[in-house]
Amino acid sequence: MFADAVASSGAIHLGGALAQVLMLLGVALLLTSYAIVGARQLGDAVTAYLLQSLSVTAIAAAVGIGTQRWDLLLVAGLTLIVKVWLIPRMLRGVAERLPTQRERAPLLNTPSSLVGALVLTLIAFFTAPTVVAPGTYLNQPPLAISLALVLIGLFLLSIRRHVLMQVIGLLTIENGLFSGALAIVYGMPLLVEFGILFDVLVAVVVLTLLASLVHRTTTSADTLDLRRLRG
Amino acid sequence: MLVIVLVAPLIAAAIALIAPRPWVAETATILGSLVALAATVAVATVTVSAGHITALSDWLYADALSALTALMTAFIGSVAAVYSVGYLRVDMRELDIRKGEGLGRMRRYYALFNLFILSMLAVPLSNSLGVLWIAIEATTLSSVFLVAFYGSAEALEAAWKYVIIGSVGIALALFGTVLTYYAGVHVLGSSYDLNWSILQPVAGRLDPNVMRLAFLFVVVGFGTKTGLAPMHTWLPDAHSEAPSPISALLSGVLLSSALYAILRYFALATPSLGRGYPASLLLAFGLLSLLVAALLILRQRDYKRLLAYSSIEHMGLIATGVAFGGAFGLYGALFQLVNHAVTKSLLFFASGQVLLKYETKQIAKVSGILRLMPVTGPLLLIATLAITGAPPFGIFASEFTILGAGFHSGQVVPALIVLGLVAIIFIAFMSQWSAMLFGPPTTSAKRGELSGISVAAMLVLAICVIALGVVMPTPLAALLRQAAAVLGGAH
Repeated sequence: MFADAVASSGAIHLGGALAQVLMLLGVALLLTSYAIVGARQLGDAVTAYLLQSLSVTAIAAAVGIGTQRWDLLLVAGLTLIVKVWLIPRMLRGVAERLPTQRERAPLLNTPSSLVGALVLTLIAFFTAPTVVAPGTYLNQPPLAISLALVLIGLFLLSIRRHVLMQVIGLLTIENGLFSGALAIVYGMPLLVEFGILFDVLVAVVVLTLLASLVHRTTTSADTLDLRRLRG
Repeated sequence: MLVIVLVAPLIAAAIALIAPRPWVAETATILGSLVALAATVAVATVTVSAGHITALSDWLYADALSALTALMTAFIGSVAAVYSVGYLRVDMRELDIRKGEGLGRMRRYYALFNLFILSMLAVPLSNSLGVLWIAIEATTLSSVFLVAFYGSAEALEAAWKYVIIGSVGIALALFGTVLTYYAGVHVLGSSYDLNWSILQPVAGRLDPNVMRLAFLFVVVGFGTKTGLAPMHTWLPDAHSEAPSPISALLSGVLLSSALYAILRYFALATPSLGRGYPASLLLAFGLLSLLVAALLILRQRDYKRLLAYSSIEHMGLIATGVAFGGAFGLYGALFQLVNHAVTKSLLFFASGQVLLKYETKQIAKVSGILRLMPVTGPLLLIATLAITGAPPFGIFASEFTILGAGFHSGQVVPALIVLGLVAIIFIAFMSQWSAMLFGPPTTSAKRGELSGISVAAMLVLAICVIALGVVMPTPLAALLRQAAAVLGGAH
C-alpha cells in the first residue's frame, strides 16, 4: 500500500522492495528504543543506542541505493562514524567516570516504563494518519515510527533522572527525526544533513562536558538534585 | 558584505582563543563586533533600496527582515562587547586575569562570546531553512557554557535545563523543517535546495495540509527558544544565572533571532494556509506568555528573574502583534522587537552593575540604588519606565500600535486582555523596582560607579532608548516598513 500511495503521488518513485526494507528497519528502530527504555545499566542503554544508530545508518543506505541518490551513502557513512562510533564512545567514557552506574530508584519501574513506551507507540500510530488529511502520502508508517521515537525520547527525558539517560533520551528524539527525514522525504539537502550530524556531535560533547561539571560540583549525576531554581 | 558580517566575529573568536593577554581578547572582540556592525548597516542600507541581496552562491540571503534582525544583533553585540570589558574585570577582581586560570577564563569567555554572536548573525542571513535550523542549534551550543560561566551548582543547573529543553525544542523545529521540505516536494521535485529564495515564490502552492503541521512544529520548536509559554521554563534560570552581559544578549538578541525564524515560517505559511490558522496559533501562545509573565512577575523575589519574565511578556506581545496583523500590527510588532532589544539590554547591563555593587540578586535586600549609583540609578529608572510602556519611550509607541491594530481588526477581546495584562505587569514591575531604586542604601559600599567603560556602554543604549521614543529615524522607519512587507504587511 505504501508503494501505491507513493506512485499515485507522482512525486517520488520507489520500488516495493525499498518500502519493505524501510518497514523492517523501522521496526528495528522501535525495538532498540524499547531496549533503551528497559535498560537498567547505563552501558546497556548505550549499546541499545548504538544499535539504533546502526538502523539509522541502514535506512540512509537503503534510501540512497533505492532512489539512486548516491550522496545519501555519504550521509550513511558519516552517520556510522558519528553516531555508531564516536558518540557511544564518548557516552561510555563519561559513564565510566561517573561512579553511579546505576540510577537511584527510578521514577517509574522497568515494566511500567515499557508499557508506557508501547502506549506511546500506539498513540503515534493512531495520531500520525489523523494529523495529515487522508490521501496525502505522509499517511504512512515512517511518520508514525518517527513520531513514536520522538514521544519515547520525551518519555525518557521525563522518567529517567540520570544525566546520561537524559542525553540518550535526547539522542533518541534526534534519531527519530533524522530517520523520519530520510524515510519520509528521502533526505534533506546534503549540507543540511552534514550540519545536523555535526550539531549532534557538538551537542553530545557539550552535554558530556556539562554532565561531568555537574557531577564534580554536586557530586551527583541525578537531575533530581538540580532543584534549586524555582519560580 | 554578508560574508564580512560573519567572518569578523569568527576571526575575533580565533584571536580571543589564543590571546596572550586579556586586552588582546577584549580589543579583538570589540573590533570584530564593530566591523560586523558596520557591515550590517551597509547590508540594511542596500536592502532598503534594492529589496534583497545574496552572497556565497545563494547560501546567504538578506532582505529587510533579515537586515533588521542582523542589525539589532550586531548593535547589541557591540555594546555588550564594550560592557563586558568593564563588567568582567570588576567581576573577576579576585583572580589574576593575566595568567593561568584567570586568563583561561577570559579567553574562554570572549571566544564563546564571539561564536555566540556569529551564530546569532547566521540565523537571519542564511538562505537555507536547514542552515537556519543549524544556526539556531548553534546559538544554544555556543551559549551554554556562557550560562554556566560561574560554575556554581545553580549556574550548572540553569545550563543543563537550557541545553536539554532547548535541544528538545530545536528537535521539534527540525521536524517542522523536514515537513516544510516535504510540503514543497510536489512543486519543486523530490530533491531541491531548501532555500527561502526558492520556496518563497511558490509559497502559495505548498501542500497546505503538510504546511499546517509544519508550522505548528516550527512555532512550538523555535518558540521554545523564543521563550513563549509554556515552553519558557529554561529562560528565567538561564537569564538569571548567566553573567549580566550574556543575560542581555540572551534576552535582547537570542530571543529575537528565534522569533525571526518563526516570522520567516509565518511568511512562508500564510500564502498557502491563509492568515487565520498561523495567526491564531501565534495569538494563543502570545496571550499565554503574557499571562504567565504577569502571574510570575507579581511574586518574583529575584530581580534578574524579574527581567527574564518581562522578556517572556514582550515576546508574547510581539507574537500577539503579528497575530493581529495588518500593516500596523506587523510594523508595531517589529518596532516592539527593536525597542525591547535595546531597553532590556540596558536593564540587564544596569542590573549587572547593581549585582556587582550589592552582591545579591534578591529584591528585598536591595534598596537605595539611586543614592548609591549616580549614573546606573537614573538609567535604571529610565529603562524601567521605558520597558513597562510608559510614555514617551519607544515601547509605549509600539505597544500602542499593536493594541490599535488589535482593536482596528476587530479582535477586541484579545486586545482588551493584552491591555489588562500589560497594566498588571506595569504596576507589579514598577513597584518592585521603585523599592530597589529609592530609600536608604542597604549596603555599606561607597557611593560611585564601578566601571567607566560599562557606564559608557550603558549611556549609548540609554540614548537609543530615549531617542526611539522621541523621534523615529527615517532609515529605521523604512527598514521596519519593508520588513513588515516581507511578512505580508503590504497586503
